[in-house]
Amino acid sequence: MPTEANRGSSKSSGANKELRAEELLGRVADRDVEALECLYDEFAPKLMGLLVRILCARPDAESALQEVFLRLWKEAPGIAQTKGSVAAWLVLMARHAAFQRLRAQRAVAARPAQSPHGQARTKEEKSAGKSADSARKERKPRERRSTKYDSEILLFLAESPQLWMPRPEDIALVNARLGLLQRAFNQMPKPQRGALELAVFEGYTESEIAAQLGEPLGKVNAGLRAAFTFLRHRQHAVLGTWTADI
Amino acid sequence: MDCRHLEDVYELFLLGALPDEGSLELREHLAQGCEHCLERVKEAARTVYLLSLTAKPVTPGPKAKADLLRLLLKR
Repeated sequence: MPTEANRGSSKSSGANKELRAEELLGRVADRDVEALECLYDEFAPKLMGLLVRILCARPDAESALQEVFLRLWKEAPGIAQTKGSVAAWLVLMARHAAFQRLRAQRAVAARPAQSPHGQARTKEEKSAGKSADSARKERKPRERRSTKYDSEILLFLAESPQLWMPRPEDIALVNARLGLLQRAFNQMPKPQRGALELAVFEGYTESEIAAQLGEPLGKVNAGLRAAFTFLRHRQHAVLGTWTADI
Repeated sequence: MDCRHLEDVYELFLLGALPDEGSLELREHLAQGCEHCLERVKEAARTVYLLSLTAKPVTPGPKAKADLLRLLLKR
């Protein structure tokens, strides 16, 4: 059983890791490949877990993982200037790399076997469609989302990291109490958790979630907002960051 | 600008779950530098981070790292 001293040590180890990650990012900005390797060793399993959960197929997940680290290499100087959390940057960029792939796969899978020009699908298209179909049999088909919208979200994340990246010390605090915070997620009523999972791991919009669940849009909107309010309050309680406006 | 109606949508915005018009309004508002909302969007990013890490970690294959390093050294 963990002692108080152990828990303290684990918390400071989480904080040290996060602060070390920012130092490594500074070195990556100075073109240090070894520093990028260290960040990869530290974060790749977490990112890969997320990517496999979203994309199902390991080769797709590994390809998205590579894309995220190549982007980190390219954009490290700008990211380092924000003084934000590199862990949070990696997770949010990994999510959007995965959703871009997922939407492309879904679009291919939703296409008829013959292209509008009467030609059979290419080998790559068949492979992508087959992979999406077989790995995600339980998922219902959906309308293709606007690629303009997708790229605008990605642009916001990529071009304005200073607007959204949390502070490293805040992420370190989350890491130190991850178990407690994730327990709060598991305590949510099942329907709310289900809707949340569709947004977090399937990349559905509110209206798509309503269609998936066969629920009225208003009910889904209210449920998702209530779920995030619940999580926010639990975070404030667990992290000890209550403020006057809550 | 009264931004109270945006209070509950930051997480959905970062998840890409908002409809286009809601997302656009939020981005325009953030670009104006509303301090409260900038703080909230950072808090929302922390929540998205937390939720994303509910996925169980998976170790990538050794070839994935080797391929990445090979690509970096080519650049």
